[in-house]
Amino acid sequence: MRRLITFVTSFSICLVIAGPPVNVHAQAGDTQVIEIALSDLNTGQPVKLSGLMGSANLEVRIPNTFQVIDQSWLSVKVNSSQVLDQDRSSLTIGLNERQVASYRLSQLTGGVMKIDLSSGMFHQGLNTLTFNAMLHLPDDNETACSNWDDPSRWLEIGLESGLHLVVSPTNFALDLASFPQAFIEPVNHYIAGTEKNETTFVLPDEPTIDDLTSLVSLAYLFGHDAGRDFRWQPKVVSEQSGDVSAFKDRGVVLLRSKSRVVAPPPQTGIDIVMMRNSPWDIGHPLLYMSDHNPQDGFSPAQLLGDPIRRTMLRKSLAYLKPGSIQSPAPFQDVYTFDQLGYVNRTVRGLGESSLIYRVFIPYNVEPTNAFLKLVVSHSPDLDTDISSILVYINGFTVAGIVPSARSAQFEPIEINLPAARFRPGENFIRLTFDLQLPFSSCERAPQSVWASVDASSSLNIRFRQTVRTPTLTDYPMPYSDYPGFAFVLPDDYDLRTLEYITSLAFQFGQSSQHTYQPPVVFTSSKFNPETTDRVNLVLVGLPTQNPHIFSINRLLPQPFTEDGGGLEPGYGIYLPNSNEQAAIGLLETLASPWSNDGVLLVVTGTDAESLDWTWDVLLDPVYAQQFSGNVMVVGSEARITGSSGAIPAVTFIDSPEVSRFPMVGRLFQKLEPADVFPVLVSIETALLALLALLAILRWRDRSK
Amino acid sequence: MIPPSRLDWKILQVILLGFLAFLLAVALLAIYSNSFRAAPIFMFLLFLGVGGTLLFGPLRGGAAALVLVAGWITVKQNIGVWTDAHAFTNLLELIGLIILFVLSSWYGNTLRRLVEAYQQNQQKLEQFNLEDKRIGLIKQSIGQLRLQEEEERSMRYKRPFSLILIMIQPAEDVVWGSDEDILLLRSAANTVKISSRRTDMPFLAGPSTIGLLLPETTIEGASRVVHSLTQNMLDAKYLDIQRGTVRLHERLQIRYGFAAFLGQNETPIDMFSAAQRSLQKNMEMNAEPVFQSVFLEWEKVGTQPVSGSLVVEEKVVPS
Repeated sequence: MRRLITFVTSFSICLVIAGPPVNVHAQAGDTQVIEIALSDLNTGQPVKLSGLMGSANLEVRIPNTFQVIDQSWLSVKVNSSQVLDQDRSSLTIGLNERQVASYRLSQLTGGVMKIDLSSGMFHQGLNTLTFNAMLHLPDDNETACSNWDDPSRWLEIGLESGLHLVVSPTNFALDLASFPQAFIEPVNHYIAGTEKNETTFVLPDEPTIDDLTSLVSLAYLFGHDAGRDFRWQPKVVSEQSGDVSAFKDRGVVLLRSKSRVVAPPPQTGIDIVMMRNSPWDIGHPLLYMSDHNPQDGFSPAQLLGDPIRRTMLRKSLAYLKPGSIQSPAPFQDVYTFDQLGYVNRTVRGLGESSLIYRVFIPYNVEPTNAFLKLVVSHSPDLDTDISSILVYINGFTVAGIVPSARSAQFEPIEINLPAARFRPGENFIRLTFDLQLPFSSCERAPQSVWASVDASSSLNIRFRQTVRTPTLTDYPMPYSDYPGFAFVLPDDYDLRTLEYITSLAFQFGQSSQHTYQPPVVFTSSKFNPETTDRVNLVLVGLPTQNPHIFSINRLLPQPFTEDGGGLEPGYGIYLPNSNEQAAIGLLETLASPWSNDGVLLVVTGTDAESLDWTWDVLLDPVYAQQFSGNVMVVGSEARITGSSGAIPAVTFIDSPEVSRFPMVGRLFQKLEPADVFPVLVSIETALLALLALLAILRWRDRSK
Repeated sequence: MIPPSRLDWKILQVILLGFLAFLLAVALLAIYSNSFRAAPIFMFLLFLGVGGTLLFGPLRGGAAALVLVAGWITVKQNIGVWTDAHAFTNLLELIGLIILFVLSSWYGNTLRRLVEAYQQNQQKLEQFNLEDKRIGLIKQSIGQLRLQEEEERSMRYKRPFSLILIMIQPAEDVVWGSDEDILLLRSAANTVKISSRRTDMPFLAGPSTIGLLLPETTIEGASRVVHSLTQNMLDAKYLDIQRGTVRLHERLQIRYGFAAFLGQNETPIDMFSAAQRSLQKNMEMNAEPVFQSVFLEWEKVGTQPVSGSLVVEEKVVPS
């Protein structure tokens, strides 16, 4: 029976790849409803407009595989300040720089307003929905709007508001040019009938570590292109599963699935990658990747990490030849905003508005001194005495400057930045402009006030190369950084473990700067720490399943007992009853004993259930922001079942990492709590050193 | 700072107990905040700092302690506990460490002052016992120490000095009575004291030998001292219970041994041996004792050329 299922599934897949598209679920002409809450487009917050003139832009991306049809509409529920002049105040809604509708506030107070949207206003790609509000108070005529920033001028687009798009799949032929964007379309979150943005990976019946490397490499590349805050759910199935539902409403990746029957026939010794519309849902992509030698430790997916090769991907089929993969350019002292990927940027309007710049600091770089050369120009009307520019690094205010009166001169303003505020990985420099006018006028358009940051502005960072002490505070570094990392799995891994590591690779990709070195996978029997070129490793599994975890047990911040089923007492984790081992999930980071600058992340637990708890927390982006210390403990006692399921009890422990200490570090890292002898020896050594020093000084005094 | 005179050992013991308790508290705090795995490193630094400040005092020890505190912080950074999350224990640890180093520096200083005061007292006590009371001269061991100091001083500053050994023997056909040797030696010592300058130091150089250390004195100066001494010896008298007033030279005869350092030498010198060799040479040459004729053989020490003959002959006619 099992062989029959395998045959049927394989045959189906063969037909899919070799033959014309089989329209199983959706085809051109079918309509689908996409309902997007406006708050989802605004980081989960209601859209709030304030001041005399408030505005907000929301962006929604329509993929090429869909087209919007005429039945789409926008529902708007407005809450506003009661003291506003309801007749003079207004709200204007625009889409892609075209005005859709304007309303007096008095017209919007009734309830949810439905605004029809013409299909012609949408286009494939990024669409911008604009809300502009003029918010007047009854006494504006007398005050000439001098209190333009009165907090009572506010309007909120409520949480009930949403964008209702009716779309139909197009005949757009997906090909490799859409890789990997087609797999990570944000709008897929909102398609009716799909709960998550999922991708199904189909593995061969007996996957090799090359197949697993392809799996995580692709997930890493997807994550890199998806960017932060993108929720994505992988599903890993084997060919023999026969679960066709796993292919509907989502992208599908076939990894070396029955490559002998794939058409076009692969050339001997050359791997292929192929992409087209999914036969199970024409709006989603299907990717097929072969590996002519799945035992050689090389995955063709690694080549896709090279951005130049990726740019060259065209049409539906590409041949991949192994070759050297470039390394990223070394970190420089000076980066202009242009080099960081930002053109000249302008903020408009009275009051506060911000520009955010992303800077990536490699893991082995420690800034020692930093300053910003800011080239700013602004409108001549600006009141330079009361206007200001605040500079934030990663949320901390670091400088405040007053714009110069010479609005057109491009002389850089030099701002010292505290080097300690930079962290490895992504850093955000926020420039918050508070623009003010020297006069009050309701008539003069506040939008005439502007300030612009030139792309020639530069960030100057003096730095030194460093070997950092491993800590979860730096998470997801160094795994998001060059030179990449490797997963080490137990030999008897299951599909769920593969889904976990795929999700984790995706998360690491989301924070990555480069994709030159996507992750690789080893099983514990295939992993040799002496020969691997990956210094950073993620060890996965229970200590009883993964011998590499047990081999470094004594170096772990929190070691396991000899049988691997419990935690050694005395290392900072205190169980309520030391006689009974509780189920506890652990995430530990430590310096690699196999390389001088490598870092290990150990995802483990005392039993299978607690290991799942660890994965739950590790893959939850909310928890990732709270990571600290070098041990995360996921406990069982305080787990409470709420409406959203079990909420784990998470504790972070900071246990010193001694192994990086020169010469004796690894020896001391293996110490047990009751080892007093090394302490006594060190005290004795100190006293002997003193006596020796004393003798030397005496001898020197005598010889004078 | 409490003067040592007001600190007795009991108070010091109490302070020591308090100091040890504080040391233990800081050690436990360091182990608690840095884990037992890093304990050997921090205990090494802690005891090195405490020992350094104890032994080398506030200045050199304090400088060493500052270096150790910097090392302490570096180690904490290295092992990843120099973070905001550990700010409180780090601050507590550093404050404890600095207080401990200051305390150990003060304690070491106080101990050192006490030891110095004790040594001074001991020296004073020894000074009371410097002289051989029977003869009235500094004891041989003290004299040797003083001679050694003079040798070092003269070497260092390249200054000349001389040493004269005066050996007292019974005169021809004279047999000393019981304790007469002590009596004669004391009279001779008294004469030597009278004949020497304030800077000279007579001392007991042997059972029947008087040493006379002449700082800053060349051969010529020493010869004048000898001449004066011999004259005074000839004139000296002492009171014998049986014989009444007796001239000294009637009961004893004198032989001299001379050594002079000429002010320059690369290797350590031994003036006492040189003077002894001179004395021995004078005896071997069967020279007449002083009160009949003086044959002076100098042992020269040093490399500086000296004008005049190496052998100085001088006749002294007894009166």
